[in-house]
Amino acid sequence: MMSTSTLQETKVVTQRFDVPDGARLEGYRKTGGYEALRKALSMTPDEIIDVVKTSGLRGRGGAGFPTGTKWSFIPKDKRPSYLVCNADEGEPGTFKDRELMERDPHQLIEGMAIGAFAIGSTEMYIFCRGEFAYAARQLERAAAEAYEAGILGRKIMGSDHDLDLIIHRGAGAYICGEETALLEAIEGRRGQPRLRPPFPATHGLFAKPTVVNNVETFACVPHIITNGADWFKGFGTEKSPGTKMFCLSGDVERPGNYEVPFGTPARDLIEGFAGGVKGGKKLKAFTPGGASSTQFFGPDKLDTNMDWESVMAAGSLLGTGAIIVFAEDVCMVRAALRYTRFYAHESCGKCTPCREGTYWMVNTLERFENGQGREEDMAIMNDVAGNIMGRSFCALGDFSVAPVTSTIKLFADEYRRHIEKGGCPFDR
Amino acid sequence: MDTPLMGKAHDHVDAPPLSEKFHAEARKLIARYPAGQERSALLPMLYLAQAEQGYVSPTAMREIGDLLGLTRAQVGAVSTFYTMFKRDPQGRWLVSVCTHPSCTLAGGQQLKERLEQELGIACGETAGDVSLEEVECLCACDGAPVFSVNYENYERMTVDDAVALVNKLRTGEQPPPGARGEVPQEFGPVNHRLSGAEAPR
Repeated sequence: MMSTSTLQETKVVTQRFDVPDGARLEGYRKTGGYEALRKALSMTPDEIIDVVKTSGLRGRGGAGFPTGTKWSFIPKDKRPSYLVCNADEGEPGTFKDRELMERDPHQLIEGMAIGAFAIGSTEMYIFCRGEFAYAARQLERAAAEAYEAGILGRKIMGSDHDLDLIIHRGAGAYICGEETALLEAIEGRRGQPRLRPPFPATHGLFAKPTVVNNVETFACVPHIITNGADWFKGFGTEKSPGTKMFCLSGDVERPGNYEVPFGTPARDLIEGFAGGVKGGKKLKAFTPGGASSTQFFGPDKLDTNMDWESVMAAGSLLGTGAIIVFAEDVCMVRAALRYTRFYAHESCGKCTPCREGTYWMVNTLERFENGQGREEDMAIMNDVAGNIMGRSFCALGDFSVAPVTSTIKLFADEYRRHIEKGGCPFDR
Repeated sequence: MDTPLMGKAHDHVDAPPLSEKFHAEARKLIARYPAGQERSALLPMLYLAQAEQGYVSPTAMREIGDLLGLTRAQVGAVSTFYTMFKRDPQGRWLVSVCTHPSCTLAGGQQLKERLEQELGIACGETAGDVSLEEVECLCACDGAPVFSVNYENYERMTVDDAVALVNKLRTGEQPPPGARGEVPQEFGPVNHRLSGAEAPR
């Protein structure tokens, strides 16, 4: 186990968290804020896109798509185009975007403004999760300051570029974190994913060319413009450049967000930064990327490097970087049940396999908790999972099976103990 | 007939028409969006109606539909899709308890059960000034267990302290500042803010 004294975060997007008035315009500007935007406005849009492309920045919302490439898809001859920030953070175990908005809202606005200038958009939307009351107030305060200071509005910062920002609130639907469902919500519809193609790059918000990026992705942009692509690539791995906020929660001594270079081993995060498993207990399992990882990891995966390629090679997904830790005395059947209830509740209902399959998996898991589980139920659940996987419109269906299939794979003995005992053998 | 979209607990003496103030603010919300995209103001307007009436009433759905050129089915389909639009009148304080694993490992499930017991209601119901609900992950897992009052988070509280706080709300006291140091507003003003009517643009 590492000693905590040797551990230090690499603070890029979280560097202003300790600045007392970093969330206000004055404090933000005192620490170099909006200088990247000023620099960007003196560049050509293509130059900006090139720097972002060269930096290797990949989307922090879960999929890891290259940001510069996404921006370059926007047709230059079609106007209007829109820039949308996905601030609908809802992935269980994730709390990085919320903290970024609460503690450094101007950084997000600056990153978005640079992106908007690069794609030739004059209209930006932040789709902010409805339940994030404080984060939204911080954003509204920051936006008001930015309008007042001429950073938003007509001819921003003395340039010829106009820029408006609308903060549009979600209303309680995890599915709106899926980008096309998010666009549906802004358009006043049920948040149900759209068929792709066409992709948002050509037919996005109001059927116009649209870029959708995550909060943490935009937060990286000012630092890349200021310090250059090579500086950014100096952190992390070749395929996962830069730093990443990892969200540590569950049975750890020091839950919280920790920003480290990609490629940092899970062990450093769990045993080092987060202080290890709470109460000196042993580790049973952890999620490498939130509930929507494809597999829980056991203690044997503690030395996995936390970057997209290593986590995938180890059989799961980096997702949003949410590491939820389960101690040895936690019931993994109960955990799987709670996650599956989540997916059943958040399924938008569009695709039958996801809508019905999650419902039946919940029912079956409840049987185990209530002492009515049978050996064959594990096979039945795997069968249901196989009929959801790849058979629904968006990733929610695919992800919904992970808690069930991976607990059956790793913890089949726990399911059997439920059968033998006629109920749950655990206290928590 | 209004029945399918009604809340479960009410005979629904239908709500009165929405006020002039609502209509003035609704027009402003509609104007924020591009011409031809008036429907984008639908979610904001549902919040605005909820701010005024404490829930999204059948009357409100009809009026909003008329303003946007939508049928009642279209408005109902949207308002019933999203959990933050309530089909029954809410109390002044909406208490939302997270029971996801990170919170439950820290007492979230226990907190939910204790609150149901103390208030004598199940999640989804209202007792006097307090409405109670169980929610999906609030994405503040470093503060587990997390619950919120009108979306203002309270974090890392013991189950006993949390129950005591909610009991105070029942007896008419104001809530203390939340984990971010700010005091929650009442359900109406919170929904007004959610509508975007107070946003800079």
